[in-house]
Amino acid sequence: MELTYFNIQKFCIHDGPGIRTAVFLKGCPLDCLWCHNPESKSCVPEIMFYKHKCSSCGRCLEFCPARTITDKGELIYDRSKCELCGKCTEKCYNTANSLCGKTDDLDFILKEVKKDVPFYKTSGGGMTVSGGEPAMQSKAVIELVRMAKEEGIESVIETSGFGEREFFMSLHELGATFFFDIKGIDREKHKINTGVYTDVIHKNLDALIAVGAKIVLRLPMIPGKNDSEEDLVLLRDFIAERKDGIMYAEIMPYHELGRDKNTAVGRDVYDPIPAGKEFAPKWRELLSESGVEIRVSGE
Amino acid sequence: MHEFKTKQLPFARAFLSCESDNMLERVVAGILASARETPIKINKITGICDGGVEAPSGYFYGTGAFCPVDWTTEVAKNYPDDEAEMIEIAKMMESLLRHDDSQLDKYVYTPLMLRARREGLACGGNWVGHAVPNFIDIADMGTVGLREKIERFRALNPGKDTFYDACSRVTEAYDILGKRFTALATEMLADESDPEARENLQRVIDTFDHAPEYPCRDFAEAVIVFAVAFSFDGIDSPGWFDQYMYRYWKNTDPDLRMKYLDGLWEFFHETRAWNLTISGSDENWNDLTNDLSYAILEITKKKKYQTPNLTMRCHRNTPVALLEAAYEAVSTGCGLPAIYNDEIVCCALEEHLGIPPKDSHKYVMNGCNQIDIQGKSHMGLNDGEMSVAKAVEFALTNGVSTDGKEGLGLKTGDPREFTSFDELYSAATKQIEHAAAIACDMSNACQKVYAEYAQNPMRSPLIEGCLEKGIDYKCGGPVYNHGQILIEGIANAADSLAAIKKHVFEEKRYTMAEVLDALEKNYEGYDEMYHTFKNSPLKFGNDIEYVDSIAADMIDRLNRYFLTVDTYRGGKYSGGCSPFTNAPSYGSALGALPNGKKRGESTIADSIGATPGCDTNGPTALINSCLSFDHSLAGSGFILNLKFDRDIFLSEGGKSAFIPLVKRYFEGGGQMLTFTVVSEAELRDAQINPEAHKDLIVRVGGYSDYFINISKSLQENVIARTGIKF
Repeated sequence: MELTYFNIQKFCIHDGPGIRTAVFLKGCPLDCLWCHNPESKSCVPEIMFYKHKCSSCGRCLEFCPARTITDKGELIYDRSKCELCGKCTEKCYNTANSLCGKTDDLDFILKEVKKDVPFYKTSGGGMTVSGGEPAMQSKAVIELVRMAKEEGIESVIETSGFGEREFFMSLHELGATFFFDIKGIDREKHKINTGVYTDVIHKNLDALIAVGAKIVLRLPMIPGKNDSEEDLVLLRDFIAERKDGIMYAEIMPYHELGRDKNTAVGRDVYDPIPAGKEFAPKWRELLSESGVEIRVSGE
Repeated sequence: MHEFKTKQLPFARAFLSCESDNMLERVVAGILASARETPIKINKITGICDGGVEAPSGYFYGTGAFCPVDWTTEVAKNYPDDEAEMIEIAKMMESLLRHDDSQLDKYVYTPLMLRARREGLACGGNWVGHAVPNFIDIADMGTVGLREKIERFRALNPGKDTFYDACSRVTEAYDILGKRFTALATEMLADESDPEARENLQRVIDTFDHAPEYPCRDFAEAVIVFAVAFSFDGIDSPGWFDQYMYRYWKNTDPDLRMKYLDGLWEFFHETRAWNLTISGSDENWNDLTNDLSYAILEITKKKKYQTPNLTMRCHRNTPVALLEAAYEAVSTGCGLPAIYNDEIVCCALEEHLGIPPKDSHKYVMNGCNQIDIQGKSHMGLNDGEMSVAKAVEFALTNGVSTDGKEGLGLKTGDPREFTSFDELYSAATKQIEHAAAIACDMSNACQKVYAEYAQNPMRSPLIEGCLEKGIDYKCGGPVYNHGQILIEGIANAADSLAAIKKHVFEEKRYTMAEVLDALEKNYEGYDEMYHTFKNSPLKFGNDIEYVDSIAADMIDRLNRYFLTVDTYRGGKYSGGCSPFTNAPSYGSALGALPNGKKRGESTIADSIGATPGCDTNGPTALINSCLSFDHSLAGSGFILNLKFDRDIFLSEGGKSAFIPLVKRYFEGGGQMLTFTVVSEAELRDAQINPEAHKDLIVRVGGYSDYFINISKSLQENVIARTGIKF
């Protein structure tokens, strides 16, 4: 069985307890306006082209049908003509290209994850499956988590909650912990912000709570998008209703670090959004009224 | 080579020739005036600063116990037969200290050794060397006790009067120092009205009322006497401070002892004291942490000074609270403490150097990061260095130097004729062993000079074995006399070998002839190859077995080789790795290498870690790579420096990852860990606005230093080391 992923990141210390290795999967059914991992959206590999690293030397013209140089000497990369041969990633002197996404056997992925087992032991860490949305490759993710469990490695699943119920239930049975995103409560607003309605997400969450799953809520807070007074009150009440089923909730203040990656994967760059960090104390104060412990990511 | 008739150094003679107290007073004044070119600065503790005004000017470096030439000229007058020769000896020692190549070959080095040094292959013996004498003996037993000890052993070792006389004279010098301080304090007290200053001065008078002749009574007195002895020796490494000071600490009023600890730290800072060790285990693995250990971590955190270089020893029974306190200190960005693993250090000392557990558990660090045995050894110093990267370069050039000359490298065969990686690797290991042998030879040549002309009667009475055997500290007197050679350029060498293995022998992307031509032309006309090598992911430090196994085999072999070589002093060599200030010079001395390094670039591996900028997989991968080595073979200190972005390190996640990282590294067989906590933006800004970042401290492999004080090339090296972010 195989998984398509774009990164296996070691020493993750903010994605679950202890020191973890995160497997970032390709493919996401949501289309959040502020997405900070835009390279995860597509299910298939793609070339990330970092224009600022390109010296327009033109060496890639020799083998790449997708590239041209304009009269002004600027190198243009036309994604629609790209055959994903990956030669540009090898041949470019400036490492301006990288192949984002590859497909590997679960054994290979698990072997990478197992390299840090001693760190999981000293820190209480393990594997985190993130994305993209893990539910997009549900069978292989369940199998990977099962294989990891056999090796004594605990898993955390970072999810948007948008997927088949069965997927979540199977992972719960394997003892996984869920880092479950709540990106807003208002149904229509959620659709505008993320491309999907809240129904499936909220039902999955409640189903997990009903079976006593280990759940941490993650709250991406995006200034101007989902942090109005009304949004916050709805969110507080939503959390309060479920407080017995939630370990804690973590505010993820919007940051700009993912914005440039949009250009690299050829997506439109969204309008600037102010950084969320300075609002975090205010958010935390209000959401704490829910009776659930509210943390702020990165603090 | 020049040979001298006189086999006695000016320094010992300076003491020996003191027939009257008046003359001894002049010698004392001479040392005061010239030690580190500053007078004894214990003013932070006592309110008093002792300057030796009558001494001739000159260069003097206390840790080596040499006379400045000017001063020797004075002393030599007492020895008319040897006068000219004594001055010549002083000049020779100065040339050694100043790394003066033009003089070294005249006195010490063979032409081959000189070439090895100039071409960045090896060097040896030209550092005076650190030690950790038992300065506290003077507080514990007093000079009267020390003289009794001297006389006891004199009686057992007939015919060694010259040695014992010199040692005895040194102890009398401490008495003179005591009298000077009493006189200065009495004089100052008469004019002093500030109550606190009066109290300080009165304490000095009270202390020297019985000290240093007789033992100290509390922590304040012990600190004063310790500081005087420590300064007089020339400001080296305080050693296992929380252990030998504890008996005074626990019996002294908390406010008073904190005041003197604080003052002592100011003194250490001002005089740039070297390495101070805390905590550790005894031979039964009982933990030796005490409240002074915590007080020292607290004061390190509070002061944020880069000195003394703080060593914290850890083992299976180290309390979590001590590690938490260490995290707090490291968080300030001061780079301290460096954390050491008793389990591996003691094993290295026991299994490979034959030091019994009762002593291996008394190890301390001196200088940057060299392993020593508190008050018992002459081993913890940098005896020499060698570059494995340069040796690998010689394997590629068949022993021909950059300037076309032969003879320094071995003729290990024309690589163009090699048909397998094994042949190249075998050539490389031969070149490495050859370089190691040169480094040891150079070191032994210098050790012989020290033994013959630079005996040290100041240290001999304070280091166990010397009085007992009647043999000087420099001549094999101490209980342990092992030697240490530091290894440079490990990752550069491993990455270069991996690149050839992969691209020449396995994938046959380039021929050896093409690679050698590219290296000779500094990659000119070989852009494609240069970028392939430079951007290759096969770099040490990323938990990739392909390259890690090459590094490990190469270094383990080398460390095993060192253990077969005898030191002139009477021990074994052992290898280590803690590159310090001169690391970039080894980088600059290299030609172009197949790891994508061009000639002239000074980038060189950071301690046992990755080539700067090449570890891109985070600290767990770097740690796993570094655990490929057998750290117990490296008896002289084997350091991994982890660099963290400040925000990450200070976050909840960073805080909770600290102890697990240390634990995993140590349980996996790692020897030593140091930490740099800093942001790249801060470093860049410090390059532009040094004035605004005077307090910015970075870890430079072996020790911490202010960033703005280090050279531009070293600054770049520090910045290039991968900050761990995500």
